[in-house]
Amino acid sequence: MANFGNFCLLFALCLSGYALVAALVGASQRRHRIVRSAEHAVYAAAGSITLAFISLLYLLLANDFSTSHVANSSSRDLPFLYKVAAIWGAHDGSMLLWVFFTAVFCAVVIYQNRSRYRDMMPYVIAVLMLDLCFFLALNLFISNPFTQLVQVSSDGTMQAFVPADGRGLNPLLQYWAMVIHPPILYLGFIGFLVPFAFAIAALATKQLGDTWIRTTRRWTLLTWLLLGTGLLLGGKWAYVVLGWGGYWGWDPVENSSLMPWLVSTAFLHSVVVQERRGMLKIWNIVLVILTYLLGIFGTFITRSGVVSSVHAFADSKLGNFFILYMAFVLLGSLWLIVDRRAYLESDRRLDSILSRESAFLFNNLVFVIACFAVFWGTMFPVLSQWIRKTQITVGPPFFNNINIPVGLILLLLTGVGPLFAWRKTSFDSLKKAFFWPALFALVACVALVAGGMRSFYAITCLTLCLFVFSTIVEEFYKGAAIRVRSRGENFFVALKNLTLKNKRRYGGYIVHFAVVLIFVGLSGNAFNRESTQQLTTGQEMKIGDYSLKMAGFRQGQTSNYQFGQVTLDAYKNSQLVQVLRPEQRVFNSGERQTTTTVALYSTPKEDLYVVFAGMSDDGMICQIKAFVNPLVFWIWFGSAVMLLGAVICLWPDKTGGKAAVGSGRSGFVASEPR
Amino acid sequence: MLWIACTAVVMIAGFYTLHPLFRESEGNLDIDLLAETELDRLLDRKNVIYQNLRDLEFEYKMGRLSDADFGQLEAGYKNEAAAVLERLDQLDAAENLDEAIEKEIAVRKAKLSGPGPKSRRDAPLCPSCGAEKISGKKFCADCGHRF
Repeated sequence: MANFGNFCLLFALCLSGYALVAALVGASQRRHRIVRSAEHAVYAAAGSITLAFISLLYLLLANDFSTSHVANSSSRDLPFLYKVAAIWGAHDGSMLLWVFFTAVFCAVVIYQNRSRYRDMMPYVIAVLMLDLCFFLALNLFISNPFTQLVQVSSDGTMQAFVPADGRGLNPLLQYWAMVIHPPILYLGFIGFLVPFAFAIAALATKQLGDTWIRTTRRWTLLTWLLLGTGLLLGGKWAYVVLGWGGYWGWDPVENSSLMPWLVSTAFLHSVVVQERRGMLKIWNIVLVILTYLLGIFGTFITRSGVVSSVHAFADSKLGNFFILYMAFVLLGSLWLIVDRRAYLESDRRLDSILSRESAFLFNNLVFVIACFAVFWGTMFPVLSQWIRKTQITVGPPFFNNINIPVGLILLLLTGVGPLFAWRKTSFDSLKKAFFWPALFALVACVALVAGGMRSFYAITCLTLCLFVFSTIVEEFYKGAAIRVRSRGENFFVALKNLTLKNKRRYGGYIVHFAVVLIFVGLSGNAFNRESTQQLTTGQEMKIGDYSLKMAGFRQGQTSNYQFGQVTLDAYKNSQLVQVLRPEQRVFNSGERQTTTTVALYSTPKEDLYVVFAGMSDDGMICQIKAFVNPLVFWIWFGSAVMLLGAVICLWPDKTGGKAAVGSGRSGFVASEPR
Repeated sequence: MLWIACTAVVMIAGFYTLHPLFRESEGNLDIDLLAETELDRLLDRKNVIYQNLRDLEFEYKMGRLSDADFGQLEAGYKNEAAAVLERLDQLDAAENLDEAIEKEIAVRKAKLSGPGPKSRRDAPLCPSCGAEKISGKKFCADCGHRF
């Protein structure tokens, strides 16, 4: 089966190479049937890669430890779900998952547009296949999951070697969020290939109107959503599994996912300016190229070992290939932009600083600055190593010092942007639009200070959250009121219709509301409390309003780990609120790694977060680490609201789903107030 | 077994990939014909301006714009729309729009279909527009003419 998988990968590389060449030849000779053959080659390559993927899955489920990937990332006692997750538990398998997703995306995009944009599609196919060929070649020749284990016998000959059992999956990865986090994150990274391919095709064919933007709008939003969900799931995993009390540590691999998300968020906003005002054409192209390159850069960070991280695979053999590929993409794209600059001129200029397009532009600049700050902090150890021959690592304080103010500016713009009109807004209009939200925020700020809050950032953050929240409520209320007046609808029906008939606009506001909720959760960081104590049965410790009384300790084992579990009764104001059972686990396979499982009592106000940190040699005294983390609940709740808002934006219109993405004569369905 | 599986994959995928090269109908990929025209861009622009106008009116009704701002912005959009409509009229005058579209369709059909398979060439045609008549259908799929 390993040989079959290997063959399928090799064959897929041949097919995708053929598709790349055939698409370009078909476009240059204007021969449709050659392009059609290239399309078929893409589908066939996707099928072949799917067979390779199934082969690896089979090897894992059948406990066939003859290949290095299965031997290093699975074991006989691993539960079924984690055997599936073991595909991406090691470097080579995760690369196969990446290739599999890329191939499926390519096939879907080409199928979706098989009868449209026939001038652009050959170039789209060529760009997609270039990416696929690169990753397939790495997967085959550098990081192959089907590499078979061999042992060198005493006479120097090599023989196939099959160990009795594997080393097992990294225990840190044995958590439900970790089963879905990498695939979702990969989908997020890979999805940006689609807008990038259309942008390059638009440059190549000089079709630099809005067609490529309209075509890829849903892809971009979906990909942005997947990347954001991947980031949040990663945060949830860090919070619940790593046991250090936080959800974001500014780790290089976390940062490498954040960077494309920041730039793609900027892109999602700036495309609106191009659609509405015919401006920022070069900027949009640059943002798409940057987003794609940052996705590749994130993969480079994770897989090259250039920076150290708890998440990295650290395989230095890949680094140079990634650098070459990124340089090729960057130079090629820049050459195309320079060559086609005449087609990228804006239709009109900025009318006024006080306008929505100006707010969007400012929002874009802040997103890019945030991205650059994260990039600088992430790469600083590498740069310092090159220049000063000493590796200097910058920690969370650097990132927080820059990104907290930047985040607050973005939060302010979330509220301010929609209050501006397109083209220009006078002070009179601004006064009308800002009066109630600003008054509400001011009253809230005074109330927070009067209530005893003293942290500058927390006060600013919560005040801005309330400001943005009031602008969103006002938007929905006034919009629904117009429907009530003009159509005589019931208010709640009007609210529903308003949202469903203008999904992009009001779905966007729901996403903004989710951002507010997430910022409320982040502001709680300023009030985190932590305490560590050693307890024996019957003793108790206090943290905040809570007291934790140790009720007992027990040991046990499951099929793949042994555990020690402390039982703690959590009281709040002398009332028992929860029985908490934090654990320490020692996994049977591999290096018998120890992990902690956090016990949580989560409420909208705060999380009581308890870790069983260790015990004395005689087994009598347990070390308990407890945290009270205010408002964390709102981060996860905000994530769910963000998902809802993005799904509303993505939901196709009954009448115009297809027409809305068509060009010119196919019509353009308005998605604005009806 | 491995060889059989590999050969089957190569045969199936290879045939599927290469068979479009040997189809009877070639069909040209005429980039100039498929490219966005000025007319496309103007129609798109017209739709966007109308959308901006609807949006502006909505925001005015929400009480977010002063009367002066609304009047000024509305006039600006209307001027933009007038310029686009004027250009559309010019194109229309230079070449009747309907005729231009008909002509373009005819050229496309000629270029894209080429010499079709025998059965298609012999198929009955619609007396109104000349499109192929689909057997069993009471109306023409292209122009809606009742047979």
